[in-house]
Amino acid sequence: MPAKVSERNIDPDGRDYPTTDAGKALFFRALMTNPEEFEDHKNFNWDTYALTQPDPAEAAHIAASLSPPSIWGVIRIESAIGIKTYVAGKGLNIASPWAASAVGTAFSAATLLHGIQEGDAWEIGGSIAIGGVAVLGLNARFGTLSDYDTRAWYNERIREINTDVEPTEANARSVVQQRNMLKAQARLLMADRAEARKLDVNRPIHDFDYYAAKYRAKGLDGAALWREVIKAGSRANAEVNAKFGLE
Amino acid sequence: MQAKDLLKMKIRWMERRPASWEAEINGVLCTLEMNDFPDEPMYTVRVGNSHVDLDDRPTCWTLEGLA
Repeated sequence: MPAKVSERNIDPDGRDYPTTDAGKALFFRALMTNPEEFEDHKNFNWDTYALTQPDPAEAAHIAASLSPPSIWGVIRIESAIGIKTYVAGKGLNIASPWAASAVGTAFSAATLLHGIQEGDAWEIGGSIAIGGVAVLGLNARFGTLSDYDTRAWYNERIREINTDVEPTEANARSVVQQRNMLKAQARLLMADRAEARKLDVNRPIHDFDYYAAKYRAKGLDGAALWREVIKAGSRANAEVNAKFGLE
Repeated sequence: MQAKDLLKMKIRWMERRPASWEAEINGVLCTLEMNDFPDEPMYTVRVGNSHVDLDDRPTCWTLEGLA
């Protein structure tokens, strides 16, 4: 059965917000990275959606139930990873309520908090229950893959990033974002959680500005710069992948 | 000794720098580096002039700082 919106709304600082729409609105604003974005979509009807999180031990997927039906729209779940940190742009894209695709980062959205509709797309913010389970592309589950399988999964997915686009800054940003989401998700797929945490601390995922600066330092600018950033978006380490039979 | 020989040895790696370990095997310094996974293999182990990239570390290895 679809779960209803959380009975209690506690923000990362421990503040408990009323369960009225006004209280929820304040709560969501506290979670949102960009409150103005929230304001733009404040007319969303809280009661028109729900999200289920099956028993984590048994869960095969995250399912979203939308009303009015928009099951072929894109649902983006924005996630408060570990509740404490809200990570912008990391979410879980679901092509339909029953077919999760692997873009973004989320352990699992146990409580659906906020949604907006933009054309055919629904955007939903959610809090996170650590340890939840989601099916991603290739039917992979968080916290289950060996490092080898994780990298194979990642290499398969980044090939799907469309880099045959105009060399513009906007496209370069998009490609970097897609790649970073996959990279973050790959790390969530790793069974060795201590190793994954070590990676996140010591080998952090770099943002667009990092790559832009990297290639600028090589003397690139304008379209040539964006072209290089875009090309890097789906480029795995060919030499070592060949060695490991991943390409 | 080649880097690949280390894969079958029971080794306790000591972390000298963040995500970088060392071990002395038969008087030879060996290093283990965590890479930018999954863009790169998880680890690169080096001894002398030889190195091996690997993803899943051997179960016979113990890395300080990793349970």
